[in-house]
Amino acid sequence: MSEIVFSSWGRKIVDNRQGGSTDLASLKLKIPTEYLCKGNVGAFMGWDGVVVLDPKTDVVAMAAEYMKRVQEKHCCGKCTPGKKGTRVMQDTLARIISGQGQESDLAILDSLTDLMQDCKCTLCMTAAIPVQDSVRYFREDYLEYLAGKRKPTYAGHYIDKVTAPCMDTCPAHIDIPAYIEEIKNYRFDDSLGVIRERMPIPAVCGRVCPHPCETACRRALIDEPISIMVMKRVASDHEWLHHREPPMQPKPSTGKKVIVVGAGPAGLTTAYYLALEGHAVKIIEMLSEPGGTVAVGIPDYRMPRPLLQREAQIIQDLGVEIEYGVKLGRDVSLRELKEQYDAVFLGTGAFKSKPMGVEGEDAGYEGFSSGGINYLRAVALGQGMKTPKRIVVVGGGNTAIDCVRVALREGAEETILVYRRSRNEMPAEPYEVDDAEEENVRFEFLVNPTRLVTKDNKITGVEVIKMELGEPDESGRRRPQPVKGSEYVIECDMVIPAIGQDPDLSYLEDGDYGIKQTRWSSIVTNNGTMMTDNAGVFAGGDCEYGAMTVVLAVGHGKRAASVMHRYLTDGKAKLDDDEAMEDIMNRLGVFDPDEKISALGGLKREHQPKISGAERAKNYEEIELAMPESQAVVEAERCLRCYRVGMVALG
Amino acid sequence: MSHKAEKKMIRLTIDGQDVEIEAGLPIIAAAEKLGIKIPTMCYLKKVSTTGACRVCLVKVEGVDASVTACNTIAVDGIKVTTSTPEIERQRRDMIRLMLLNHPLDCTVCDAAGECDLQDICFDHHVLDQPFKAEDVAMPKIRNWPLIENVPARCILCEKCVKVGHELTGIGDFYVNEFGDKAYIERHEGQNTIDPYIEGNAVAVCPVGAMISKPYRHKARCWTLDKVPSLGFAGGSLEQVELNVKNGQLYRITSEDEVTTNNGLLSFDSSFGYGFVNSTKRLGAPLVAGAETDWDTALNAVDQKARSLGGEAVAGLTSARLTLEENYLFQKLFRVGYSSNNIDSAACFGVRAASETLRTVLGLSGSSAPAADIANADAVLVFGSDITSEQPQINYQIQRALRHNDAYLCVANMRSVRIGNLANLRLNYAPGTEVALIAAIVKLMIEQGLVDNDFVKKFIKNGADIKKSVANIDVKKVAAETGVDFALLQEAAQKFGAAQRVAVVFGADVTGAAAVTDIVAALANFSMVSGALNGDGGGVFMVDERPNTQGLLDAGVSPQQLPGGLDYVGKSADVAAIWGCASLPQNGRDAVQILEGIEAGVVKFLYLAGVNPLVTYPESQRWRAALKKVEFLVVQDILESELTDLANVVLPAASFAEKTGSYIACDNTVGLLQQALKPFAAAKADGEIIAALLGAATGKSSCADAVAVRNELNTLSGMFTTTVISGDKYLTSGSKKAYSPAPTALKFSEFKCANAEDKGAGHTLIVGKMHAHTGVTSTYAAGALEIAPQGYVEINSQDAQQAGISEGATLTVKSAVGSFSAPARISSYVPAGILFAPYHFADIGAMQAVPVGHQTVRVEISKG
Repeated sequence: MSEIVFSSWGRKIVDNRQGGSTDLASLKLKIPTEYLCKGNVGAFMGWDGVVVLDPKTDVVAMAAEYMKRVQEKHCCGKCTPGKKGTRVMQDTLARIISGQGQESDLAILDSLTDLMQDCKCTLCMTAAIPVQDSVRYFREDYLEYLAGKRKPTYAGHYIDKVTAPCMDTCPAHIDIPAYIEEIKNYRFDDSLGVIRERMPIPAVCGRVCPHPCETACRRALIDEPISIMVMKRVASDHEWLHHREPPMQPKPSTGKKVIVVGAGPAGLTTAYYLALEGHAVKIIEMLSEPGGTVAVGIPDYRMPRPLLQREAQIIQDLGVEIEYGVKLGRDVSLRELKEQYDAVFLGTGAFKSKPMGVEGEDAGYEGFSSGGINYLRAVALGQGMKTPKRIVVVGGGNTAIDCVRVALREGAEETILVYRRSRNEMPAEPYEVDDAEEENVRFEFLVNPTRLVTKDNKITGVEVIKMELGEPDESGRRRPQPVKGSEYVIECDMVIPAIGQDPDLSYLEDGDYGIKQTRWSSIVTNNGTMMTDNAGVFAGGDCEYGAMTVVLAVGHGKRAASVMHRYLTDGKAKLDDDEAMEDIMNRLGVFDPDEKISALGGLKREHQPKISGAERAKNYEEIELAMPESQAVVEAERCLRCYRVGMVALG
Repeated sequence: MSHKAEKKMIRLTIDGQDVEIEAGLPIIAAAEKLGIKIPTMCYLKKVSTTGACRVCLVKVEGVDASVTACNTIAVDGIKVTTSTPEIERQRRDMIRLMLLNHPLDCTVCDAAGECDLQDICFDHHVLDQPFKAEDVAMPKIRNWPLIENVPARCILCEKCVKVGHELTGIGDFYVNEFGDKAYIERHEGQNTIDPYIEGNAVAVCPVGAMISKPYRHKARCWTLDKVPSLGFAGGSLEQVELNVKNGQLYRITSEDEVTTNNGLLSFDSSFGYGFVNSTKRLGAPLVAGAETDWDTALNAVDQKARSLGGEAVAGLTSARLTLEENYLFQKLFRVGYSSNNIDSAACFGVRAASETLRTVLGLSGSSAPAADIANADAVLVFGSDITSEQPQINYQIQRALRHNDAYLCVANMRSVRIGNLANLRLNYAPGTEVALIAAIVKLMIEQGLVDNDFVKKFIKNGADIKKSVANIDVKKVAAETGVDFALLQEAAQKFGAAQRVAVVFGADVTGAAAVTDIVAALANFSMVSGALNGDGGGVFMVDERPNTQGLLDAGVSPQQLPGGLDYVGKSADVAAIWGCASLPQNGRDAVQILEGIEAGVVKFLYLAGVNPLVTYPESQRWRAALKKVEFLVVQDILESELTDLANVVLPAASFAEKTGSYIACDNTVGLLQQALKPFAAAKADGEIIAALLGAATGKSSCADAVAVRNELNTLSGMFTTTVISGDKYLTSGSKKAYSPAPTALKFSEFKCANAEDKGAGHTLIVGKMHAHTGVTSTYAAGALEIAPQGYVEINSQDAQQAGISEGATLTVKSAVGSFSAPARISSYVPAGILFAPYHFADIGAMQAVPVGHQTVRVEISKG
């Protein structure tokens, strides 16, 4: 049923009720035609209109149900038009479908939709839109009800879900507007409580998250996005700075045992939520401390490890056991784990550095690092890594930036970052590039290494070639091409390639586990359940996706934990309605960058104070300082609370 | 903080008028500056914005939709229109929605006449209701203490939710449920022993949703006279309006912005005022238990006092009397009865604390105005349940936390409410106060965190500072106090780094055996931490009574004359002013008066507004003494065991029935304004005392507060002015601001006591609970609803060991006496500590308290 019967989505009317055909793809409307195993999607109703796929859908009955759910399940009651207006709309629609309606009721619905545009937030405001659309475009249906000629035909199921652009874009789907509002109300503990519903490492993600949510912040359409990430840090630091005990209590024991491989963000998250459900969780970790890439890949000046360790301790306090120094495939096999535990989660990360593809990189030269991630790890764990005076780091991502800045702190006198594209194309966060520059890191853009220059088996330099940008590649960035004959040598004592990492899945090689891998050597999981083809073995984070972000790992961990919980309790690895809807809305897209927002802008976002100047590169003290809470409250007040409710009707 | 320093001014236009305001303020603030009124139901300036009612809609040029003026931050250059036909229509619709299913029971609603919803409907001519919906409001909530919640009337503005959470720091209310069912619910609160209910919720409710039970259906608001005056509890001079009619006090309210407390009420003002209307009020003088006229009663007192001679005569007064009344009291004894046997409860620690501050810091009262606390970067609350002892100081601390991001450290032997908000809680073992402070000071010195400029300029013996901590072993202190080394370290770093420090201490310090040493140690801490810089923060000694500073300043002490003048040195000068040959020699303080009665030397005792049977240490000894004393005069407002023992009872006026000055802990001099005529034949304390003074001296003596204050100032020079000023809430003088001379301050030696014996037994702390103040509140139904009787808080571990269950009778015995009370098992006291409120006559917790030890080792037993 990919044919559209009617759509008002995005204020664009497609009406094929009297004939004609349009398919979803042609409208770029990513609405699924099937919902889990429960049936076909008959219609979707949401913040931007109504989409009808099944001509039998009773749009009036659906509108009545939609408004009932908005009022009784989602409306916070904290503004007059929301609290009262949606109640009037609910009752008016109920009256209509019960045959008690009058034509004046239609005018009431229309006028309330207008009044609802003055709501405090967008939840009820946008909820009125599809109802108004139904009155406008399905007026005949309404009139039949008013004339007493019709009885409602309800769909088999209606499934609803509240979301927001930021919340949808966040891979962990944190209820961002809620935690921002708690900050606005000076309720920092409650804010943290909201965050912890979806994210057990807020001190980390309040500091080093690339915050994709902020790119989907509607406030940016009128001035600047909310400092969503920093708000998370404020909430998290509040508990820590007040010596408060976290309030979470695990449920009674279920008797089920789970093993989590890797104490990185994915593993810690999975362990946290499973422990809260009462399962006995053990984590095995190859390193000597918790955090995975966060611990040994993100330097302390960005993410102080004591705070990371505090978060790991909180998870351990819920009963999770962590055994360090145990590596899957070396010390224990996946087969053994499968035998000993009721479920397995693989959160083994992506620790294998990608090769640069230049001559001599596998020759074992002194001064050639096996990769940025290894360099950072060796420094972080104090493994006797000596940093010489002149360093060249190759790459444009966060790891490359971390390497040059760590090298400075390790005593390097000159650090040079070499990147084959220009500054604009760097995948690293722009502020980190600026920070590195402020610490006197030298950048050589549009050059690419071609050869290692050595003397007596020791690095003395790296030969690079100048590049120029050509046509855009599939990533949309312009493809760099070498400029013939432009080679030159940069003298240095050490070269660190930091051009990316892959998962190391060698632990899968010693047996046929039936676990599929992608061609980028990451693990394949199914339909958002995070379960591999091997029942009971789940995977998430970098080993599943390829090197990505902390927050994605957290999202994976949370999803895996909830599916694993279902798997452990009723044997089925399935999504629930909330998760299915989460994925549906995520595919549909909640943020509309072209939306015209009618609100007064003109406010700058608040920034946390920062230690400035090159001097800071002498130590590992945290650079970004805590935002004062009163400032966070000012920032939180800018939030537009962009909630919206979507609902599908199943045929 | 930086984000505040950057505040610049912006210009905008409202209804064609230009206005300049500070950046960061909402549009409504700009309108207010222009005097343009934008209607609103949910905007409350003193809390964070809500944006709930949507009535304050305005148009901003270039923005399609209307925006709310209350929470839309104004930006430079905008053009705002506050009224258009469209806006008016939207406003009316919002009001109609608010009114939808709102019960029109104004006939029986307490808010009628002061209901914002009534006013806004009236102002906007809302005559019809086009909307229809099922009424899904939750039923009335009647089972909360003191407040009835009527969800059907609630417009969900959340003012009640915010006023507690943001201004008193005790936020028990929250929004429950969804949609039109959403209503205000209440968490039980963390401390179930001493449950708090936020009276300010009633005060800020714009409709009749939050109803005060004591006031419910008592009066129509427009029939009440509102008399500006002062609250009767807490040494901060809460500026309030006494709502009265027909000789009764119906409620106490306060106004935002124009009052120093910004409309914020203490629990006492909200619910504890009922004693004024108590049926136990004393309405006629009694001699030998029989009603009589004033002349007879006063004559009996006068005859007896003068016939016995000065040595045999003694008087005790209290901080519930005004400055002028206390002044007259000491003059009556010194001039009228040639006796210097005069004192008050200040004898049990407050005076020693005050004198220590005077000696080492040159202070009389606090070092700065209370509002300076709000500017502090770091606040130390030491040995005080501040929320209960002085709610308005708590309010200033809350401001510092929310608006100045202040660091809060709460040092206490038990958990107190404000501890829930603290960055750092230092739960120290009894008797280790000085060591605790010394350790923090030592760490500050070691880390170079001392305010050296201040030390150099103001401290005479700055060189001694290092020496003073040489013998302090911080690790040992950590073990003794039970406070982790890391926490001491944190305290040192935070207070060392803070520019503006506020030090607040209360009953656990002023009641301690080592009060002088602890106060000296706190003074040391204040000097090195920058609390005395005068740029915010300061040093504040708090007390639950309204006029403790006034009592001290009035000179009711055998060692002191009014204005803190030394008795021996200045008595000749003062005698000259008073027109008598000389002042009596010697003099007994409260303890010596007790001993004098026991020895049969003191035969006449005059108690003015004080009940030693409940509030004085070793109260059992006092009971015996009062039974023994030949002639007992009790001047009070309420019947009690005390009045039964008295030979003469003099019925006094309550705080609502008289005028006179209270001096706040921060030296603000406020004027009580008389709202009611004294009950029946009762008279103001000052009038009674002046009459006795007149009788004794044969010269007519004036009770007029102005004249008395001027006389006091003539002899002490303590005021810079005694002129009454203010438009509505009056001040009746002004004391000199604190400004120490160079090298005038003295750094004292840290006198660490040995930690108390950890052997068998427990440590009992006797103190104030939030719902009660003194003894009078035990005559107020509101306060009794929270705590109808006395109790002893005991940790669950201790209770288990002693085999005591919740509510079981527990007998607490110290070396000086014992009492029995129901046990309340509490997480607010650590193992080894008991807490008992002192207010309750039937329990008499002060029987176990020796003089000069508010904390005492006791043994407990069942039954």
